[in-house]
Amino acid sequence: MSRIWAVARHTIAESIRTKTALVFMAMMVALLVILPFKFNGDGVTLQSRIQGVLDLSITGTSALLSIMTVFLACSCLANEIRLHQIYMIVTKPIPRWQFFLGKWLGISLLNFTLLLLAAITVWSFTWLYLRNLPTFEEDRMAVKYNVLTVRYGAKMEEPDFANQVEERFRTLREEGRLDNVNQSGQAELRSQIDADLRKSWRSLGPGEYKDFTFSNMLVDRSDEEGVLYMRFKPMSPSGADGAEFQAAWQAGDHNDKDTLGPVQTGSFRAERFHEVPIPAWTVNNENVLRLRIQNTSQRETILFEGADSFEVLFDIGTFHWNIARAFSIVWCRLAFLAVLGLLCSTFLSFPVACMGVFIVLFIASSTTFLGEAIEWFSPKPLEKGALAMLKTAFMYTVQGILWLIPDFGRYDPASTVVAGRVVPLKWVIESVVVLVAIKGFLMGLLGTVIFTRRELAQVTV
Amino acid sequence: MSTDGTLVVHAVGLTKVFKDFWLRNRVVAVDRLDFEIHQHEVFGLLGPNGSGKTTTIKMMLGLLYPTRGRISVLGKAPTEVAIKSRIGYLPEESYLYRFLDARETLDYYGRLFQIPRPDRRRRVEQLLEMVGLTREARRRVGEYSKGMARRIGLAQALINDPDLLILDEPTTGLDPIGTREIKDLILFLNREKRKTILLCSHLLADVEDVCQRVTILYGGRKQAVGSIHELLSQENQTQITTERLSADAIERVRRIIEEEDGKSLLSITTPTTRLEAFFLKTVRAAQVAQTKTSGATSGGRIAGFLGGTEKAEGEAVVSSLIAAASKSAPGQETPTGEPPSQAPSSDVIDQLVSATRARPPEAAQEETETPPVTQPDRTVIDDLLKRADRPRE
Repeated sequence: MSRIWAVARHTIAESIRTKTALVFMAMMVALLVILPFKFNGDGVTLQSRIQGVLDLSITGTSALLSIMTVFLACSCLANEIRLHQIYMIVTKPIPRWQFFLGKWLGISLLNFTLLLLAAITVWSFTWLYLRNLPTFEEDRMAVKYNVLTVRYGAKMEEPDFANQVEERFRTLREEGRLDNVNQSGQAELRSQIDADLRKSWRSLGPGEYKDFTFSNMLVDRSDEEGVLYMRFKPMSPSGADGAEFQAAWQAGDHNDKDTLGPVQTGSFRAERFHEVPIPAWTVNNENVLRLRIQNTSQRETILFEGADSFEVLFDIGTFHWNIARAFSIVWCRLAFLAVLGLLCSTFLSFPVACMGVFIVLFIASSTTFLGEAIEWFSPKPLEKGALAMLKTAFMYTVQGILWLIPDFGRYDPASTVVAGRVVPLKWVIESVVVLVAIKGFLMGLLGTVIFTRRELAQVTV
Repeated sequence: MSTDGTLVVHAVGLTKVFKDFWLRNRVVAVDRLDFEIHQHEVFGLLGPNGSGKTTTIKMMLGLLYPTRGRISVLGKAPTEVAIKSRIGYLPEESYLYRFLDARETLDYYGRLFQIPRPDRRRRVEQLLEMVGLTREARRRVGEYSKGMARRIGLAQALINDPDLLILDEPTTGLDPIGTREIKDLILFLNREKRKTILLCSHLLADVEDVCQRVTILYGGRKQAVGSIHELLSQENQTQITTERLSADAIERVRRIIEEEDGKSLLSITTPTTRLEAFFLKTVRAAQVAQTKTSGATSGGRIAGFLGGTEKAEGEAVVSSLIAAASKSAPGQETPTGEPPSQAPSSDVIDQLVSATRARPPEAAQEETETPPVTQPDRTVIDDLLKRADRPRE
């Protein structure tokens, strides 16, 4: 362990004395210090200003440190090999995997320190300075309850449609409509049937009402002033923009009169998010909230499409810890980039390794898009033969590669913090497990194998 | 210095072929090389540029893998991590970290050997003093001259007090004082600390001064191997060293040799001191005059953890270096640890001269010392003495 730590210390010293880390540190500090004073948002509301500062601070810090990590990881090992300094290391009693691990540890510790500095700076300027700037009362409430807060969005419980899907599928087969459909086509058909059933369940026809259930509502029911927020985005099935809906809703369990709240009505524009308050005491003793919603429109059907189109928000933590968790996820991304850079530098020169990592970074930022593109390339339901097999093989190969590269879009906490949403601990743990423990470890293992097996000396004949 | 026969390095059929991108054989750097390095010996690896010396060393250290054959170091494969704790390596170039200073450099490598902190600090200071860089310890290595960097390279090779020391061109870039110190250090480490040393060098005079056995490579193949004495002794000649002789005496000696023994007198010359000794004397004078320098100073004191004893500083050090340089000269035997043979008694020459009724030799005027003769062939002298005892006919 002492050898690993010695290499880590050495890596940190190298990054600072060769000015690589110092340059990025200076840029990061300049960004974080200048932004709160120079950025004005929409020029009217403090809410937009704070949200903009938070977004740019977290995103900018992540971007700067990502570039720094790529440069450091790709250079520290590749340059030691190129300048033959590695000769002095390999002839010492340190296994090559420990040297590799020490390099990663040094870069990751440097990132941790810089992220800690960034988190303290962002929190300080946001909480101590921006929050106290003068503004009108409505804006101040919005800042307090929508931005500098930590809310959890409970999703509605959906019934299990598996039986209904199988029943419909069986019906189609009995009708002989599946005879020419291949395996992947049948799977696609099943998912389509499921989507249709869910869409139907999430829609309210004119005059129709439904009861929606939300579990794990960890709120303080005794607080009579406590408020939850029903957040939703109504859509028109026809896709008509500008449509307007009328709805009535009542929170509480109709079987438990003590939790039944007042009936409320309202008018809402389609394609926009709306938030309406609900008393916290309408949650029952089992932390379950029931909401009855009726579509009081004459002709329009209301559709809640998408996982975040209908949720109930409640406070669940503090802004300070939310910032800390958000930067923890950023650290996990940087840790993955560090091991990826070191992997590339075990067999590539510095510039080529950088290029390789940036390509992977691009892929990681576009994983969702690429995954969908590959899905589009997959063989069609009625397609058979050699071409279909080739497409299937290609699809699985690319999917395997994409699996190894994490979806960085999934691990971007900036928008969550800006929206005043909680960055759950579960997300942090998932980041650590997926980015570091699994995918990072696999990359590191591959890098160690390459570094151990390659000849480090060049031909000098 | 005797060895106990234990093999420290053993190569059998060692071959290294470098291939190009298309896996075609392009360069045969080492070709079926067999050699052994015994414990407690100083072994020289010689050869012109491109003969495979450094490639061989790299295979010994696991930096390259043999194409064919095998090599073992300290009884294990070169890739074994455990043996590295017993090896010290000085590469042909000092591949140091330019952003570290000397103290940090040695401390870093010391940490890789897992030397405890108190020991590590002590060794670092002793090594810095030994290589004469204590004053420059806080300067970045990137600012060092080549010779200074070489000294730090040597220091890091000794930080772990290795059993096997591999030195690839150790005197490159060093001034004569530094070169002398390196050679004295090698001799000390071998004689007093019983370390095994592999020395790779072009500078044959340096190799001859310190090595016990050498092998000569050319084209990746072994051309010769053996002890210095075996390889260099000229069995068909005899060398006698005397005090200054008069011209008559020289002529009489020539006549005796040619007429009595039927041999030719190949040359009679006035020996010269070595340039190294003269250089050291000049530097000594400058040091005594306290001429300033921003380069390395003469260290000379072998680090205590390597078994060095306390020595006086400054002038006494240079004096010892001069004395050591003056004692060794080209054509002398390799340092085997045995005391040098006694010079022939002046009585013999007196007898020789008196037998021919020559004038006594004049006293020597110069301060130069002539190198002692080792293992002289006494056949001719005995014959001369016998003839000197017989009355002239």
